[in-house]
Amino acid sequence: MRNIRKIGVAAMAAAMVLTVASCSSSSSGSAAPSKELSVWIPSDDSGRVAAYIAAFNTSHPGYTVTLRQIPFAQYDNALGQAFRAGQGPDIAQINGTTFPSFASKGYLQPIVPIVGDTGELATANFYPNLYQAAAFDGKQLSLPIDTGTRVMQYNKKLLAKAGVAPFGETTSYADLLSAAQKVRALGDKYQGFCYVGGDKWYTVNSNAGPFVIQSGGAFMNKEQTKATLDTPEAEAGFNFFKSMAATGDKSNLVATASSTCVEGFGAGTVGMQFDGFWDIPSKDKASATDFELGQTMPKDKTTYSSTGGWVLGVPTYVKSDKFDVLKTFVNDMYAPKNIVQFTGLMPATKSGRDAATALKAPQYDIYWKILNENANNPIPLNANLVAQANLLMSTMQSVIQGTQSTKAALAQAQTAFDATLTK
Amino acid sequence: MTSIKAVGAGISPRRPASRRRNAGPYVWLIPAFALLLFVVGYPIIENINASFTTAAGGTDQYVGLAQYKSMLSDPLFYHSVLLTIYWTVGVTALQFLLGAVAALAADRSSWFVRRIRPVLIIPWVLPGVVVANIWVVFYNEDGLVNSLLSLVGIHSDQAWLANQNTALPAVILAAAWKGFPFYFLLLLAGLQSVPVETREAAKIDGANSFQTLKGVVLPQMKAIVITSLVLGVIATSNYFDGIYLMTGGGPSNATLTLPVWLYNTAFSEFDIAKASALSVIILLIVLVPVIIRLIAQRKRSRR
Repeated sequence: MRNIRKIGVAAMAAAMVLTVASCSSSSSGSAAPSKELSVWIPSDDSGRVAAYIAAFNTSHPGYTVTLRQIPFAQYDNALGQAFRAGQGPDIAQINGTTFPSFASKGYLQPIVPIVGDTGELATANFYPNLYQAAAFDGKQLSLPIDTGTRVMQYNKKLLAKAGVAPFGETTSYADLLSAAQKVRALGDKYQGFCYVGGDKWYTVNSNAGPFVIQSGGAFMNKEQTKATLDTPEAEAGFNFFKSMAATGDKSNLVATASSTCVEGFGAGTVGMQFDGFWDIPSKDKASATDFELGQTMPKDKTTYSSTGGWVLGVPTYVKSDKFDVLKTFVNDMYAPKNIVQFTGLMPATKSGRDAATALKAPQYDIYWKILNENANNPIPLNANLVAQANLLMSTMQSVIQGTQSTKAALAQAQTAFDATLTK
Repeated sequence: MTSIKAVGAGISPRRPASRRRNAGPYVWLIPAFALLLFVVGYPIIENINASFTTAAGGTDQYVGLAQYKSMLSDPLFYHSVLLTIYWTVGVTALQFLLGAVAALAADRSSWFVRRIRPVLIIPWVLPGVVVANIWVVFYNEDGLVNSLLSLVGIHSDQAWLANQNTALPAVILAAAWKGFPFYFLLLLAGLQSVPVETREAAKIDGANSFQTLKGVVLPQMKAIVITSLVLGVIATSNYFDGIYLMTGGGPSNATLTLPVWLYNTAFSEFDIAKASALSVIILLIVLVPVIIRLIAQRKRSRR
């Protein structure tokens, strides 16, 4: 009995020690400024970000920035869990499309008061629509890092093989569809237009979404109080996408990865795909001259989507003792030569363009052009964007299968979409 | 009265020595039970607690039953519950049928049967990701299923997973193939535990194979059949990876069972509170076969 009592006393003492220790280690709100910063990014295979962080630590003695890289597929989950638990990065790269989910739950704090808005961080140095897309509910809760613009990409060689005349500067819906059908007619192994339907974001950014916008439609009114899926414009966008999808493999409808389209495009069996510059086939797969990124619509009707970029956010749990190191780091990070290390492609700052040497080739001009046009997101950022994207994906799948008419599917989606706006 | 007092006066109020001795082991079990309660009970309580909240302003705010009310008013919930029932019944029935046939066929000792038994377990041993990939390829427009159909004169370019009428049956079939060895192993063990004498007695009495199976073997295997079905129903109703990898819940939510919906809610929409409410509902649904099993067991033990 005495032994049991001793064990009990020892256990209680250990618990008290642990409690005191955990309390003291979590008191990040103490007055002494911290010089340590934890940065989370999705895995960067190029190693450029890690090299930049190492260089920052060398050039800023006294500061210690640690980088954690998480595979892209797990990144959103890891961030979500860290934010909810109140333990994780001091600053993180966040997917522009999941940003509103985090922002609406109060997981992010206004970033401008922390890092300032002078020099590279001046509002005027950002492309306006990207800057706007990094705000939520009137608050600048993040800063844009880059853009995820998509355009119609086409394989010139394959289109020529199918007897399609060069697109030139502009192309109509009818031209695009005809070209896709001709490629499909080359044989079963060819796809005119390859789409990926099994992931919500593809539906918003790379599938039906941009075509609805292209057709003059929208998903909701400006006040974000009423869905506008039952309009003739939205129907036209879905119908065109359905026709294009019919020239691709139906199996893609539930594919959860875009690799099949990208691989097919690189292998020369896919005529067209709607995608970003990051999926342009590399030179080792095929001759770069085989591929062209086309402005495929009349100038006033460019087919594109501007979403999918990354933003930079500071979680709510980060206390003021970290603000000094945050300010120093973020201001250094947005220097033109540094910001391109984070994107490697198209930085969200105007001053960063000259440093984006990877996109100097003329074929990328269309992306810069779209950036300059301040393209809007297909769906305005709101707390239920993910649910809306899921709904659109489901609707697109119904339309492509032909189990419902486009009009009926959109009418049904309209009701469900309205419900997401009243939540 | 006096005599009673006199008798009791010299007796210590402590419990008999034999009972005191028996209490010792239970004391030593307390840490194990406490740990078990912490490991199992705490997450469940935390989950239930989270289902009464919503994330706002960076913290969880108490909203009572709002998550449950919102879910019960969502038509997708009832769609998903029906799909889950359809899925669970379909997969369990097919797996049990395949497992029973395989077990009956393998319940003998021959050179061939001894070598085929390990082969039958392969689908169960394969990782879920591998199985999902295999069946996705089978179900493609130019996959094995359509090739087999064309061999028998049926031309099909159906993408079986991309059609909302065929997606769920297709996934059920794949899951049945993957999971039938579970029943095969349990039922084979059950068959081999039935005393040979009882079968021989039935044979002497003139019973044929079917009559022996029905009247002699199956009654002796009742417990193992029920246990395997209860375990199977629990595992199937919670099954996630195969469906998610093959269809992601689509097309048009045609395979959106409760676990897939739960995953999407928690890790796609990051709505942990709603996902917690959904998981509580799933827990209650899964408890149904367990409770039925416990009631049946209690009734049997009373007899």
